[in-house]
Amino acid sequence: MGKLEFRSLKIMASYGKTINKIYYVVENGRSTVEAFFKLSEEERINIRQIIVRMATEEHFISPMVKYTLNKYAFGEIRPRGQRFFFFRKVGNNYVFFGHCEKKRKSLPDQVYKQLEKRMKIYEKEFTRINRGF
Amino acid sequence: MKKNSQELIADFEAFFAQEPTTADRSWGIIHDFYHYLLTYMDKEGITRAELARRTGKSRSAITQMFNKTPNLTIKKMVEIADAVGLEFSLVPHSSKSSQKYRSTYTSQSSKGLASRMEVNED
Repeated sequence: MGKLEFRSLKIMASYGKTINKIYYVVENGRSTVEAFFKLSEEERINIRQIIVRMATEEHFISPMVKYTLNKYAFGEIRPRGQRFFFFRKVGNNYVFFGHCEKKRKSLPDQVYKQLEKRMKIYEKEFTRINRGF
Repeated sequence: MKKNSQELIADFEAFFAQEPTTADRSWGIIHDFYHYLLTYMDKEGITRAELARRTGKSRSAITQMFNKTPNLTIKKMVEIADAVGLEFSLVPHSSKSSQKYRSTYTSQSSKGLASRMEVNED
């Protein structure tokens, strides 16, 4: 594991009061959010609206958001069938830590297992950094 | 020129700091609709199978609607809202008022019971 940072994403006040903070992982200067710019403008805007609602609604419900996946302790935003953004809820924080793009609509179990392994490392570090807040 | 990681991360943050566009507000209406619809269905114990029955659609058509990109038309929103007993309306507000950027969305049970849910609270 290299240098880890958890950057907070600012949500504009005009969307309403932030209930759940949004963070994304930056590891060794790289982040999964870089993949965001591979999407079309329309898809980016769609995801922006989902994330804004995850931040400002206590529990935002959407067919595009799964808060916990079967067998795994993290969730995913699936803006299109074959694109996945993964997050973990830690207290009142959503930590976005992974992204995957496949031609198929589902991912092999092995991918999820690896993601969970990474997620546990990130969660531990996130909890350690935020202890005392 | 290809951007480096730091530039892309900065662009990501800048993207979220932008004022909402027309596309944002359109997607906002759709997401708010789904949020309130699914919350209401859960509260009232209406399953997707029941929704299929009430709308006269197949279960696979409902599943597809929920699982694919939900780019719903207003006609479809009204149809679904009617089927579950919600009233759906879009009310334009003056952009000069101190309204929030959220879509103006009001839903109400068709029986006038206590299920009024509003997003835009001026």
